[in-house]
Amino acid sequence: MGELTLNRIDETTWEIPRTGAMRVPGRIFASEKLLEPILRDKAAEQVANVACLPGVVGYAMAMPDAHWGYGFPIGGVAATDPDAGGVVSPGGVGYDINCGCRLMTTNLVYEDIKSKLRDMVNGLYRDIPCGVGSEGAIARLGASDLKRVLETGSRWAVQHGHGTEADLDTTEDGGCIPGADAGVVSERAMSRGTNQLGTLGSGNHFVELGVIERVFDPGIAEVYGLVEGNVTLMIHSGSRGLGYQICDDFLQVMLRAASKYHIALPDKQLCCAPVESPEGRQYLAAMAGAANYAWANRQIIMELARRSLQHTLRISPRDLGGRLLYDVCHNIAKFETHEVNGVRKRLCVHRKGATRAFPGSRDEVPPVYRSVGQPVLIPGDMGTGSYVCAGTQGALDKTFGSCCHGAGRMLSRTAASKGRNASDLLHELESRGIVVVARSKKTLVEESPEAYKDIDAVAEVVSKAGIGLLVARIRPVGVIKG
Amino acid sequence: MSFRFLEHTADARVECVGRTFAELLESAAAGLYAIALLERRDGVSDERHVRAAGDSREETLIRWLQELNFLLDTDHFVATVFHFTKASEWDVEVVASGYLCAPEERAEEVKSATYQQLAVCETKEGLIARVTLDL
Repeated sequence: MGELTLNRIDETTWEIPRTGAMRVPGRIFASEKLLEPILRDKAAEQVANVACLPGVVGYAMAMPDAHWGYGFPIGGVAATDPDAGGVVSPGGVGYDINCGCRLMTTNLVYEDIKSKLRDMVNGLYRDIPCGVGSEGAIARLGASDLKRVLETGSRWAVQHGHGTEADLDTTEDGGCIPGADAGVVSERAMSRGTNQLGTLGSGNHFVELGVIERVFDPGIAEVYGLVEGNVTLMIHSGSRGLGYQICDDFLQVMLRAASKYHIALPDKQLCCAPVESPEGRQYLAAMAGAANYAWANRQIIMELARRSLQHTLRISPRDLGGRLLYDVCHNIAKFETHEVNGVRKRLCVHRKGATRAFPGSRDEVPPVYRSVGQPVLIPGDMGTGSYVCAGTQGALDKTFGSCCHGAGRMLSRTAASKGRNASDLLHELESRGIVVVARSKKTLVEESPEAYKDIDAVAEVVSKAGIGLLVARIRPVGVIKG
Repeated sequence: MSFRFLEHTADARVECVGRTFAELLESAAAGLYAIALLERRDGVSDERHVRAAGDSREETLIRWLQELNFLLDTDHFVATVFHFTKASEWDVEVVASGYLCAPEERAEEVKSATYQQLAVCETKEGLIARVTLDL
């Protein structure tokens, strides 16, 4: 691919015209400032490559937090039409299948509990297995139990005492994608999943206590139960080693499949197979299993967090009022109906480092949110803030109902660590009222706030582009990391 | 044998060298462990048989790293000494001696070795490879 041409469509939308092997144009949603790193690390080229996939429709897209990824950019969205030979690509989902985020609201008022904040954070760190090599709060899963987790997702967790049915009502897809098949998941993947259920992981995974700092839309905030000054808990984690291994396994399958189906790939990492092929179906069935595992994982972690906070504060579940606002996945491929050139079609929508952002008109949105649209969670770095948005018709019109998933990494780990040590970083965050406990000092420094893009700038683009409606901003006050 | 890290925004990019393909694999392993562990010890108290095969030396290299990563993730096994019983660019068999590490010895979680910008090239001194590890 030669040098990219970019045409500005409006203040926050840039188009890569269709050229060469591209089947559709590309679109990047970004301000001028956020566009710079996207161009610099060649994520824009990856958008153009994705636009070459068989059956791709509409636009291949990058969200405002986009950066270079495996095949697809992280922050990439693309939909393919199975009826037109459209493909599914593991690179459009990512290694951490259903890495995602959930936000729990509470009855706690920050001013009332801030003197106990360190105890709360220490308690979470004690009670939630985190860090590389940690084992789950669930005793080593037997094969049949693990199979049930893959098939039923969050419901397995609830049935085993981790949370309530109400949690399922406000989890994307009820915490389970149907059609998961443990039979197409390798033994290696199952062995990696056996003792990692209920673990946070490391890297950019976290559990974070926050305070609702500002409400932008009081009407929607009321529906969501967001009250200024109240404490929230956010969890970011995924499918752990099980998901990574499934991705590995099927990348090998897809490399062979691309050759078998004569699919010309501008980038080997976009290896794929037609959705309706045996390979495509098997990948989707395995991916669904990993997605369901991830939902069960986050459900368990949330219940561990509820119990931890109740224990530390010596309060009842009713007093805590830990209510799941929503759980969103941001590495997934899903079948959704969308309008393409005036025709409603069932598409395979890939969101890699991107979040669904449906308005209330969609049946997929929980009934309780149909009046305002689904919550969209956009976590920032541990020193700055996060946003809760609402899904919009604009997202449906422009991005197959998608929005960004976070702040997006800007600095390499080496660059982030340069001249920084964990001790100084912890003190600096504490001076700003943020208590952080991390298992790995190395990871902590690599995850320092300056490694990430400006979340406020990302949120501004989301709002201006109309792909999310700002509802509230959350300030971090306590973070645990692996 | 030796390795170094190259710049990468989100992941770890390792450049490793070796006079032979076997040495290259050992260097790549060292790079993997440099990311995954706080420090790799010299211990030898356990053993694993490792096999990796591929249609190209790039693919064999990736499969090699994925095998080692799998053993680290599931058994907590860290290889320190490699006895190659087969070392062609398409098929590698190794008896790896090493030790079982504790969780507190772990640093980063490596999801996998990827094909992203993967290259194995010949040089006057032998072979050089660049691999991206997804973190």
